[in-house]
Amino acid sequence: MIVYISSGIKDSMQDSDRNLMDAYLGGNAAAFETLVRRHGPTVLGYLTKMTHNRDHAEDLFQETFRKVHEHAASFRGDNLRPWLLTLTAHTAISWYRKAKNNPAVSLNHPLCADGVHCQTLENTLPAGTPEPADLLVLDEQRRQVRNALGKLPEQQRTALVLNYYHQFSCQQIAEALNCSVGTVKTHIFRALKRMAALLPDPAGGIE
Amino acid sequence: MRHLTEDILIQYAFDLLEKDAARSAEEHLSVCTECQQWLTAIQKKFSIMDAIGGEVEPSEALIAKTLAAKTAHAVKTIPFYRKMWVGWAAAAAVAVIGAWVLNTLSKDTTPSKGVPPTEGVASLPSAVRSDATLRGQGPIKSDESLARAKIVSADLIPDVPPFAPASAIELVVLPSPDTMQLTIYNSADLTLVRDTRRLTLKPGWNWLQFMWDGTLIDPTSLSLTPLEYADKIDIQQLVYPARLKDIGRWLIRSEVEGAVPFEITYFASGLSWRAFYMGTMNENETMMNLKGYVNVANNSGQDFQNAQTRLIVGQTRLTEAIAYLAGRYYPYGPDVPRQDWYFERDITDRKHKVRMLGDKVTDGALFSDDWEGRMGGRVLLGTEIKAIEKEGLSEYFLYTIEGTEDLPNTWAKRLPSFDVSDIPVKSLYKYDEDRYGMDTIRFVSFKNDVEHELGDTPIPEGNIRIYRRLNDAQNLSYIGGTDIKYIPVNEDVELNLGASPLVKIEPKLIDSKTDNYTFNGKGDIDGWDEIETWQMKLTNTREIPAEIEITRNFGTDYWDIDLDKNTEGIEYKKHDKSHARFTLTLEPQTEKAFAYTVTKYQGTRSEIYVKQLQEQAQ
Repeated sequence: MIVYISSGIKDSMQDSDRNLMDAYLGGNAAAFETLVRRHGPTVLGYLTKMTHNRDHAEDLFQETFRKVHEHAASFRGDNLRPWLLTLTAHTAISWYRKAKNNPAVSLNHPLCADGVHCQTLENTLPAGTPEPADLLVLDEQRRQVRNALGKLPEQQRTALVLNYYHQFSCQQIAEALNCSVGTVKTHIFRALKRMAALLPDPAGGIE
Repeated sequence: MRHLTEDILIQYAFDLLEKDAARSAEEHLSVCTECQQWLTAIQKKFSIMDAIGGEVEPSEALIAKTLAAKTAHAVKTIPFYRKMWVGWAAAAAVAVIGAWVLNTLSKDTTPSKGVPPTEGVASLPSAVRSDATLRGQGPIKSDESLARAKIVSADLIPDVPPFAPASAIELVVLPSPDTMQLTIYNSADLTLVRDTRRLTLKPGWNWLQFMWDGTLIDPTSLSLTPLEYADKIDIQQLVYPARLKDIGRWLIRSEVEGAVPFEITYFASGLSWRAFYMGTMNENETMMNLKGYVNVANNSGQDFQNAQTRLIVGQTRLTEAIAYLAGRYYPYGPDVPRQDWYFERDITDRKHKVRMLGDKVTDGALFSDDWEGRMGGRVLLGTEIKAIEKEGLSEYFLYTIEGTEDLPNTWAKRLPSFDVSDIPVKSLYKYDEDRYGMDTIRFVSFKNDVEHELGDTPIPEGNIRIYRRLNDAQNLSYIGGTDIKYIPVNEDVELNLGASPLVKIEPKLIDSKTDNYTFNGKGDIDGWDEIETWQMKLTNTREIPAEIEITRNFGTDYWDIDLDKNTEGIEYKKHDKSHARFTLTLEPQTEKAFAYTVTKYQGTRSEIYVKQLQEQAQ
């Protein structure tokens, strides 16, 4: 897959993360942009789920890539994703703890929930989009999932989001969170139990 | 056969079981239809989690911001909050000012080892001040400011300011204001707030963010002025970012690098002041000591620390109330009201604040709950008497409270204004059925002039309470209280202290008749006299003499009066066309009565009466 970006640099998947990071460390700023574009959706997706607020997520998005810039030299290996998501998780955890200690009045009021899956004119007009009724159901489901995720304790949410949405193994999560695999499994299990209680039963669901 | 539990099934579905347990569960599932169905149901239930995907595509703007800001230090939004537990100093922070130093001079950037050199608009570690410079280290001293501030060449500053995206602003808590001045225009719920702070500027373009969440300020009145290097610092614009409430950002072009004092001014609502007076009369009620106080109440949503407080007496005209402007969603533009945040405050916050303030400020001071409810908070009675300087303005009068005061939100503070002894006063008991009904009303009067030991300044309107010293033991008795209007210099003051049960006036109609009828050509009555005899019974049960003034309304302009013989010491005069007034002094513990007969002329008798008066006058 080749993605053309505004600066004219092309992102070829043939360029591994390792190569891009090396290029960046060697002074090629465009390589950094390629990395941001390549992994941005994953990072922003994770942060959006963790913060439940698009503005916070975007702030942390920038913060994460600032850390990438700062700690670029410490990256080892070929695949940036686990390292990056670990960095992202730490950024989010740090933010979460700060926000918990300092209950804040948000300056940025999202137009709807997490600011991502908003029902906008844009996504209601084009052909091929789901029927309004389906959209309504989907919106409601998203709301329920977001609410349920939001009610999870920080560690459980981190573990579940990394595992479920970003396919992190328990081992990878354990390394990211600096805890044992058993602890990670416990976090995920408890998160799922809580989610099971919070999420609606499907039609003809669990007896 | 023992079925699998829901916990096991969940762990199985999400691959959380240990190998042995997983194998065992798998074996069971291969033969148990019931558990298979249950597993399916669980998987179906959790499939809803897929409604939100794993990835969210960042916008081009966000990517651009991220690339631009990756080397500028922290690019984040920190909401304004009140840390109740931080203590008084932090809680008193009036507002949070944030500054995001955008692009400045990038040429001396030196990449650190392992970190690549950066390109673009904001990549200047050396040009970006450290957090420690800004975070709560206290104001930078003036000489330090001079030492640090330096002028840079204007040629090095880009012509166009960098883009300041809404969410890419760093807010930094600055030191408390160096000075704070409040000028409270009581008549219009208007307070002019002026504070000076030292802001550390970078050469080039600076964004300065001012936040007022939870306060009642008029955002359209915000003004920022450099107090030094005015020719080198240009305040270019004040921006109210879209979708962000209670935020204003100033764009500052600076040829100065370093700490520069600025003055920020704005109008606020919610501060008010009220004058109180306490008069203590001597035992004979001939002299009075008068103490004046000013009660300043702060319900503005802000805490003011070390604020010089000035009070304006006089009427101020505003086109729009500040509280209304403060409550608008947008500083300009559509008039969308928002919820009244201050009506929804948690009362426990207030209690917490009170306790917190008490720890700090109440050492050696007294609390008074007297004003609770009235002022929306407890009153701290200062132990040190501070003078209030008074100064005449063209249309107003300005009172300046000596020194500075801490004014926490929701608190009121009572400050002494003046203390004058031995003001000659006069007590007068008035009886006037038209104005006061059947009660005898007590008045205390004096004059705001030099002769009465006053007259230096006008006296603001307020509430006055009068006490009387009973004996040498200095015991006091409460006589009465009232509101007074603004009293200019050389103006008489008459205080209505309410009904006095100890001095009674009781009029009684003794006789009533008609006489002296006149008739017209047809033999009909066209005039007559109404003759009434009244007895006035006066009782003074007090131990001091009582000056009494009785006003009688006869209901007509044509009347005549005869006093009976027992009117020694009673002065009578015609007060106006229809009223007569009697004055006398009633000795202590005495009762007295006098009578008068009034003749009221009706119809043509009134014309005859007028003619007689004219003939007498000639």
